[in-house]
Amino acid sequence: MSLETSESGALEPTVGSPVSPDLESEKARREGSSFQKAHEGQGIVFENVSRFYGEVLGVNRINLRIEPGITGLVGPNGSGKSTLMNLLTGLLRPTRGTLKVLGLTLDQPQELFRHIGYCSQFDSFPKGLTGYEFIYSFLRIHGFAHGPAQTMTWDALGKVSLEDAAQRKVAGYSKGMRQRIKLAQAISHQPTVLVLDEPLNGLDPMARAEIISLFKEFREEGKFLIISSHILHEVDVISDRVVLLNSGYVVAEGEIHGVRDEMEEHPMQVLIRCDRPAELAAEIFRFEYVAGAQIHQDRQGVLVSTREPARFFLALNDLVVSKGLLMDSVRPADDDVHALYEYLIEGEGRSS
Amino acid sequence: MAVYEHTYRRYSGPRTDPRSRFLVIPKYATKEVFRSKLFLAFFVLCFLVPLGAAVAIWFLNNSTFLEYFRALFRTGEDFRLTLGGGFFFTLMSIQGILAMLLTIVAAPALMAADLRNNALPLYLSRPFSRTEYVLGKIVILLALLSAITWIPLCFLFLFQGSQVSGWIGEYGWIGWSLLVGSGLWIVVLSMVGLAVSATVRWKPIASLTLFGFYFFSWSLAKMVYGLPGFRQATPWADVFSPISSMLAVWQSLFRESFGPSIPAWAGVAALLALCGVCLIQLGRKVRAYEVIK
Amino acid sequence: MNSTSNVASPEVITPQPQNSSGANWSLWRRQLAGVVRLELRKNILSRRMLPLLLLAVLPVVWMAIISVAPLSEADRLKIEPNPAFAFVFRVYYLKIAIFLSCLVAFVQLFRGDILDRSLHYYLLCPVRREIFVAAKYLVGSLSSSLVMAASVAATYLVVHLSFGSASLGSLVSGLLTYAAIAVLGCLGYGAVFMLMGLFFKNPVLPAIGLFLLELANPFLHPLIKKISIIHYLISLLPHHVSVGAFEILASKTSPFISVPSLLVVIAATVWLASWRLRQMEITYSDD
Repeated sequence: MSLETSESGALEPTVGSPVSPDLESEKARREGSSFQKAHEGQGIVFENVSRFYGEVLGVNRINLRIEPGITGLVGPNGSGKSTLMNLLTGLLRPTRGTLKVLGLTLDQPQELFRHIGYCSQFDSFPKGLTGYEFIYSFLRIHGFAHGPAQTMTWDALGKVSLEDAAQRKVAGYSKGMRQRIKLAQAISHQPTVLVLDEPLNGLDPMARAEIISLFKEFREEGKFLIISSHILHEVDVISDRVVLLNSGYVVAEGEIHGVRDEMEEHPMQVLIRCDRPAELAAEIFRFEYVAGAQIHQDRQGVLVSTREPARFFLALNDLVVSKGLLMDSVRPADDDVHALYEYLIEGEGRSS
Repeated sequence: MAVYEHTYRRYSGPRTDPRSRFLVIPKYATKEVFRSKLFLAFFVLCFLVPLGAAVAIWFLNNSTFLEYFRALFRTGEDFRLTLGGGFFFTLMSIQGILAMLLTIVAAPALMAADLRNNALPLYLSRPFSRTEYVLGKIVILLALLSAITWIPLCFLFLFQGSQVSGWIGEYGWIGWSLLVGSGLWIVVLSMVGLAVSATVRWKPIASLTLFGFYFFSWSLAKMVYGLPGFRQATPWADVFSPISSMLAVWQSLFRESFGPSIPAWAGVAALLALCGVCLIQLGRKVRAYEVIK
Repeated sequence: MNSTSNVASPEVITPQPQNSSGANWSLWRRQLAGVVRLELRKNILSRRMLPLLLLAVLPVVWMAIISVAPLSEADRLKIEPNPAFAFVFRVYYLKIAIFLSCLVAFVQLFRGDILDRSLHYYLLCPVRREIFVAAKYLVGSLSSSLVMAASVAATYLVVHLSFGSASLGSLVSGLLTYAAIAVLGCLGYGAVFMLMGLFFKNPVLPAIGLFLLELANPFLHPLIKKISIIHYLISLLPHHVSVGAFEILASKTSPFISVPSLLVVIAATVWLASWRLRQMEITYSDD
């Protein structure tokens, strides 16, 4: 299927031939590519952004630069995740600071929103529309002609596996279906930046897996995905980097392992599985850079805490050879979002 | 033995009196009503007319002012302004219309939010009946409307009585008229307000419905009655307008006549019928469950 | 859907970007049509239209009942069609029906979306805010004007065909004049109510204020009259109807002033609404 210009000058799809853009779409394509080139490397930039709701703090002094790929927003309820997303999509305006998305400011909605898709937390829809009408209508508002809008609507519905329910009223959808139709609407115009507020909420395991693979597909296409979620292991699996928020502040950001490495006050935990864990535990206690060691609950391994992982791993190699230990695995036990969350947010809560 | 039987102990402490339990609702709902600064400003404005009337009563019964008045307008020595049914009818009409506007502002907030947020099961799963819930809500309106209708007007009535000896003996019926006229009107306003609040779940739309209902029915009645060449002796279409019906009842109560109106009994019957319809609607809407069609 | 799997790349189907002069009328026209289509889909045959239809149907029914009422010939002759319709138009249409129908149709254009928590879908579209406002205003105007003009025309015809024997020319000209006044009224009140829906959480309260001001208009000072919509509409009426002994008569405003004045007010309010929409933030929890 390809797109051609109809009599009205709008782009219409034609079936059976490869994509053969005409003059108008060629112009659009050229301008589209030039836009991408012009904005390459600009990413999403928050500069000292603060947002207050009267006297209540939403987010404060946010300095962030988000690059293509999947960025997970993690934080407890009320930490400012939704505020950050609403700021990013122009639904809220910063009290202070500036925000640019691909070099565009919020004052250029007609340009900016071509490149942004937002699946918000609001579980509400325009009244009386079917799933198909919901997506199609907003594509028409974007300015797409009937043909391309129809094609893109079915494409988006296909991506979230909702073709069968397309002609049913959204009001009659289940929670999971409503979540998927919102996602389909957010991706329907093929944006470069996708902002997804709890997109996996209410989805069954099958749908979750499908949607996660869709996110990975978008990552491969070089899009920006900003995803907030409470399900930490999913964030861990899909995110290239995380932004941890607490009480309106960014407490950590970056690639998960990088963030973990910088947390010097929390020794790294390593789980070593071997044939003689008790003997190994007794030996490694002698290393000065080992803060602690304990036999794992299943008695098949040792959980070691160390402040100098590089030196520890070298010493461990020597020990294994000299004692003839049979190793099953050596892996970090707290190098994930869950651990970061526990150390940075729950730990913070306990200490305050 | 089940686990809960080890841990669960039914509350056995003192409880509030079941007869006054419904007052829990006005306790919190009043705060909600007065949270709006606009409402507060309007509520205060509602006292301006009674205040002005009190000042007028004082002046009209003040001998120095009367002398000055007689000199200024060169009236005779026996000139006096006598306050009677017409004065209180005018005050009643003004305060009645203000009460109606107050209901349009305040009533939609009372039930609409509870129904929209599906909060009724929370209320009704307590030892708390639907009647008590409605009673709790209506008490707020009755109190607010009383504060701007019969309470200040009865105060003015007594104030006038205190200024002129024998006035209460002669015009005692005005006191009863104030109580009955205000009472009927505030009950009608409260019932309609609650019924609309229970039916239309969005506050602004409920306000719009109330506003539309009162003024639309009034305008329709005027159109039906006043058509040139087709004017009837009795404007029977007024029975469809709560405003016109109430005015007919007030005219009868205050022994005044400002143009043709329906008989008082017809006005009372129309208003009571309206209350009945509202009661049925409240019965349909105030339930612990909802049937979604 | 296999048939759609090879959808074109985003660049190919990107809506046309702006031309060098900054304006892209073709794109704007399509976006406007898109909003109008969605609004019509949401509003036509919805429960929101019921009050509008009720307001429109009642006077027609009432006049139809009178026209078939068993009146004596003398009584029938007493009803002159022109004053009778002028009375109905002023007392019912101008005072209440046009006001209320616009309130219903226009206040909900934006406030309804806020209450439904669906306004953000519009604000996330790459569309100039002026286009949203213009499209929504167009839908409100279309629905209220069509319904009111049709109702006015039907009532006018019922009155004149039942009680009068005017020439076809005067019948048509009278009908068009009243229908045009109804449409102008819808446009004027509509613009004001759309603005109220954007500025106030409960727009009914300022609407009540405006209603009382418009109701008291005949008794206001001529200067104050000139800042109301009803004054200009009354100025356009072909027949004068007295509303009481205390009416303060003001000189009629010429149609060449009143019509452009109304249109200027409409343009100004639509511009103001666009400005407001540009500043708007979505925090549904406040509403």
